[in-house]
Amino acid sequence: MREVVIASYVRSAQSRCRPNDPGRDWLFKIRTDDLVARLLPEALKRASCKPDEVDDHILGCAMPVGENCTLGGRTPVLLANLDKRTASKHVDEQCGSTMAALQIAFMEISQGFADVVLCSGMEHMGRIPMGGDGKIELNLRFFQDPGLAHWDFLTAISMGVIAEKMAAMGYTRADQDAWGARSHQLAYRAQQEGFFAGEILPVQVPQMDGSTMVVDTDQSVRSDATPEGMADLQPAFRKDGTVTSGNSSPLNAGASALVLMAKDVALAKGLQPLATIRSIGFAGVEPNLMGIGPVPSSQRALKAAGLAVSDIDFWEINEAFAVVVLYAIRELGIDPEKVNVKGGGIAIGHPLGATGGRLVGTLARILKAEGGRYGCATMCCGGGQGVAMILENEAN
Amino acid sequence: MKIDDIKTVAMIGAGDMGHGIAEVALLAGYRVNLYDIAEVVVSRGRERIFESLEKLMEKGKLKAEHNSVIRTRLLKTTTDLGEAVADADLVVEAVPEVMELKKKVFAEIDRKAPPHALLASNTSTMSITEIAEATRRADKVLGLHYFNPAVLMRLVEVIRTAKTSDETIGIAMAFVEKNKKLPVLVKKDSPGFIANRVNQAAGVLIMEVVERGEIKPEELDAFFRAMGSAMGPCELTDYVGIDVAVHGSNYFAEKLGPEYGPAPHLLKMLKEGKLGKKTGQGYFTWPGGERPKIDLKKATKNFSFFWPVFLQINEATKLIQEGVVDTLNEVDLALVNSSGMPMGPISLGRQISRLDLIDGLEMLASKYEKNVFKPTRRVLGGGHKF
Repeated sequence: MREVVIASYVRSAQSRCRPNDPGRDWLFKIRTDDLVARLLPEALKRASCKPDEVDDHILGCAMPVGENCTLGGRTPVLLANLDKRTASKHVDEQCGSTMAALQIAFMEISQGFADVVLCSGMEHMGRIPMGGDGKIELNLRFFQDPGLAHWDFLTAISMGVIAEKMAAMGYTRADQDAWGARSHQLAYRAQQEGFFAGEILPVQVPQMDGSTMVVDTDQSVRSDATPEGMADLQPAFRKDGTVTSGNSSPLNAGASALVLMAKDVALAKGLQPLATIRSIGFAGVEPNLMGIGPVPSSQRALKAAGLAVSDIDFWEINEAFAVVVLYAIRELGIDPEKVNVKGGGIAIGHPLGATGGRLVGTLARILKAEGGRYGCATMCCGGGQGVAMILENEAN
Repeated sequence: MKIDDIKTVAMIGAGDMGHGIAEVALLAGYRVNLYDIAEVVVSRGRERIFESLEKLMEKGKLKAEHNSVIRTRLLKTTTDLGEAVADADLVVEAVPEVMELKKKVFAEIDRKAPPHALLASNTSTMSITEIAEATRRADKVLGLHYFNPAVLMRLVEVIRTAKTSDETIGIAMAFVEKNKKLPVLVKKDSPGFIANRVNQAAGVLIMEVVERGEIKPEELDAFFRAMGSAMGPCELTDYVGIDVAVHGSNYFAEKLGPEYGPAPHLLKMLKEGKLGKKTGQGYFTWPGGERPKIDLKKATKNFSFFWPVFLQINEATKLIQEGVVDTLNEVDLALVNSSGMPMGPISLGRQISRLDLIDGLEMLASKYEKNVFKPTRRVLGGGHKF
């Protein structure tokens, strides 16, 4: 099995989508496939790669309908005028879509079927929101067939209700709010220190008022978040619940791109890879409890890598909801200080299928910046799944 | 005439709907002449308005000055129809749903109201065209269909006949907006207009499953309550009145076809004087007017949340074919704003595949032997989303 490295990582800033005021979204007036097309050449440049070296392009997006339909990942490659010989595919594993794209790229290269694979992720929750803007038609047997009633699909399609179910497993409002505030504080600090400038490609985007804006900052990050300030927020999904907009990820738009490469190819180019991929993990869980997905998927990835939880120096656990992270910390026995050290999805944003790229890319950069050796990125996915990837910073 | 020329509204009928419509206009600052045939009815209407205004004051939604202006200057009550309409710029009628009565009232209003006054009926199903024939000003006759309780429900259907003028409709739409309500234009005078027509299709199914004894009213209402409805369909029928439901269904049956008519068990309840909340007995018992206690654990497992939705969507497509509305979005606006539903059937339908919808409708049509449940050509063609 050939070793596979992450040769480069770049992403867009993640904008905030507001259903009642769509125009305030900094990325409202750019199509998602155009956004990806802006990132792809930059990702190749940062990996010292020419377009004709790329064997495959794998795009992750959780709502592949409407403008998110890319002819199987092909349109961004053509929009960016890359090489026609680069194949493409579109992967949907819900929120884990781009993580799944990276996993497939890892397998293609490690098995010797490709040398260089470009992975990308995209989502625009303003224009193609959860539910697919009326363009997704779930099989109604899930709601009508008694033989399928045990899957509890009414809960399974309501992420907030699942978060409430998990909160009821022993996570207080205060715990969740504290994690939400921590996310903003860490992300704001990282923003101020310029950490994200190393991964965000500024893009020019027209705005509703006719001006053009260079979008280079994550729109959801708050400078003033405190647990006390979050205490006043109303529960978002259940009247007597504890899950609020303060301890959940917002609605976002964004895109990410990474170049995966066979290690021998990277070394021959004289590249300093961001990280080496050690293992991957994926797991299915109860559809009506999808938020527990990071636990079994991380366990599988750890087992495959021959590592223990204590070997992992840094974790990126996607903050779909604070309670998802708190659950994984408790169940896996993780030191919270090692988790989401530059903030997470609650602050930085969680554009569904695009997030996997950011988690893996940011984790690789954290390992470099903080001098860690092993890192694990993991996330829950709608429908009841979890995905994970373990990275090693070999410079350490 | 322009919207600003409407200053005084004559409200004909001071019952459930009449007092509510009057209150909404008073809150918007209009002078209202509230009329009913007997002093006892009209004073009860006035009392109900005052009680409701007090509640709004308690909630901080109404200032004391405005309340006092309404009580002392804006609201007048009378049992003399001529007096009620003499200085009216707009007359709104909400008398019992009997066509002959409505025609008689409109003929009299037409004689006694100033020539410029617009005449509106709050009928929930009946033909505005037919009502207008009783007047000599068909261009100024329209429907203004408020929903119960008028103070809370945002929707007002604005119904035009073939003879209603553009000017009348323009003023009426603006008037509804000034009343802080949502006007939805009903382009063609069609039985039940939008909301009641679309709901009638679902109502036919509800009546049928109860009629066949497949599901008991309590099991059905428990199902809807467990799904988040504020009130189940049987309780709602009780609340509105079995007599009102029978009259409405009879009207649909007469105009649209017998399948829309009342189920035999409703006629039996009517005959036995079990009229629902107002008599203390209908589908449920209403001890002292208290809402029936519904045991959510009894929710039926033999009904699907989607069946009424399928039927509402299908019926909505008929409204497009008939030219009553231009788009299905208007149907959703009407349904959401005349109920407590967070989402209309059309929005829900956008997440339902054409095949699931067609299969569901064909199953319902064959199981319950109702041709009106059969998928429309528009549904067969995939046009249920727009």
